[in-house]
Amino acid sequence: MSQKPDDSQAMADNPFYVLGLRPDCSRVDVEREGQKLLGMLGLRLKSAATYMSPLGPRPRTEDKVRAAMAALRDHEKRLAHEFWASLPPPAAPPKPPPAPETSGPGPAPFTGAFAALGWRRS
Amino acid sequence: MSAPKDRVAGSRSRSRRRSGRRRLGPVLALLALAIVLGGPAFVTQLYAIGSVLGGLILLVGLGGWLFALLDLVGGLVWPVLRRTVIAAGLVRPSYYLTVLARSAWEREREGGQVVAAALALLHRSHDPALATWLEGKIQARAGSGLGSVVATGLLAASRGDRDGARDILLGVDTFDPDYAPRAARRAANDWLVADAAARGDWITVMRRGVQPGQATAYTAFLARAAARIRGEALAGEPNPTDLGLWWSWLLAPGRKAMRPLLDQARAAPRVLHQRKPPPPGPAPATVPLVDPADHADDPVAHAQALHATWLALRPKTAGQPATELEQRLSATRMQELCRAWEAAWPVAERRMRQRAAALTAQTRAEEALAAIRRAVAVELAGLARAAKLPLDGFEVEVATAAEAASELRAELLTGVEAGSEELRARTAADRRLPPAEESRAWNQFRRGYEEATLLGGLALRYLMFPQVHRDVCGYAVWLWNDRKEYGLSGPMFQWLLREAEAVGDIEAIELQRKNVGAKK
Repeated sequence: MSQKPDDSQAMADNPFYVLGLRPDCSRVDVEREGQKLLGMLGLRLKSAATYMSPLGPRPRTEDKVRAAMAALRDHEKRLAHEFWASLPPPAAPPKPPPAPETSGPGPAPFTGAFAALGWRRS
Repeated sequence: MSAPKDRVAGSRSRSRRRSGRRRLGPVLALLALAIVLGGPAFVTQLYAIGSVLGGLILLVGLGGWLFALLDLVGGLVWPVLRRTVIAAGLVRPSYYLTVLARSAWEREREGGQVVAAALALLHRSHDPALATWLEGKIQARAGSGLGSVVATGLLAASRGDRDGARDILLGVDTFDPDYAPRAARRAANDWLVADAAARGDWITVMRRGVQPGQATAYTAFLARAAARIRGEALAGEPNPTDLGLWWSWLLAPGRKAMRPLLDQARAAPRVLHQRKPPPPGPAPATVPLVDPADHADDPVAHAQALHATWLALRPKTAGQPATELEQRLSATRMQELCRAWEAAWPVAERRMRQRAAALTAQTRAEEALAAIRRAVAVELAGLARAAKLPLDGFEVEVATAAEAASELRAELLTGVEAGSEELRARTAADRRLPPAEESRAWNQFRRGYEEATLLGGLALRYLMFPQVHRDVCGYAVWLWNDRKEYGLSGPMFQWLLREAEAVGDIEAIELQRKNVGAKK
């Protein structure tokens, strides 16, 4: 949850997505939701085990929830996290862009390629 | 401890000699008795038996000479060993018997031994004790000839490290063919082609499968079958016929496993002539990836939605190829993404100011936004690099695109400079790496440099070359003079010459021409 400028997880592990909150939520909401999720994770409830981010579903852990709560208590860090949470979490993972048309595809991967040489290890 | 052992051994040999004499006595007595009783008939029989035995000994001797002659002319021992001892997975016997395969491993007999043992290790389930033994044999070799590199790569494959094995074995291509025994190159190529076929990388199979000097019956069949199924011609040969496919299949090992591939290839129509590509039509309009209407009132959310779509295609783990991103992220798509971010910044700045005031944050909105802009530029540069988009593809008039291009340029340049400096420092400190690691380190540096020239163009090449020439030339000279690694350093001089010619550096061209001309 660091705020390095090259942190590629700014979107995927954004504290707002981890806690399932929107950027306009209050500090009380953060504490309440964080405690609720920690309790659910402690009970190993399946509904709390993952969260949806713009990059797709991600596993939610107690460490992530605690780090998210700590990050949102700091106003300086919260400012940047609010920016990266402008996009509402999607209901489904992003659809991959269309692939360009290519010429004739080759055969399927040949899984027996090593065995054909008599090699057991590959 | 040695003296008592010698004494014990001496007394044992004396007792063996005494018992031998005791056994020989009765035999000689029986023979004398048989001659006396049997008379001339027995002597004739004895003579006949002796003649047959003598003939047999002569035949074996002649056979041995003939075998040695055939091995000298056609390299007979190595193929025989590969089909028998090595194929049976006998690691230690393969190692020792390869001493006989002189002609196949003319300059690198020890290299042949470790390659034979590594191949035998692939033919059996992995045995850590044998692998450690073989590793010791590889490390005991003073030089880092091609044999050590190939054996290390095959050993990595035996341990299940396919990425590592691929990385090491690809280094075979950069060895000077004069110092690279064909048997080693073929063994490496067999593995690389099998690996490419197992991953479904048929373009590599077709390219490597018929490469002169490295192709085997196995790789040639895979390449021909792939060419027929894909409807493409191979380098230097037309699309294969049914008969050609049958013949290749018959010559190849593992016919049973490859039969379905043969059937699939025969069922595909043969392409006699490569079709001319149709004339390029009008460029199709790029359909927006994310409908702007979805975030009509929020350009920041629109830019982030687009950004997330591309980030999701990045490889999940480091070192994994970004094939999907490479296929889908074109220069036009990158421009679309940069423009979306450019439209988002004014709104983002306004919003940041409001939120900074509401949160009573000490950081100014402009500062926070500058950090975010930098993060976006770094991620755009990472996407462009993974998708192999050249720097020229960025629109410099769009500020976000210019920032991303600048990040990418700096990233490429820093990577090459750091690699070059590392080579220089190792040369200066005479810090030697194990055989395969030396080849791997050089190949990693070369790939980084070639990526930088591919994406950065001639401008970046001009900038990088002086330092790279100084450091790589010093490194290659060190390998040549101090370490006698002619197979590795020779191609480095050739590479430097090509680069010097590309940037037109007269002084470097003259120096490298001299270096390339020098042979052991």
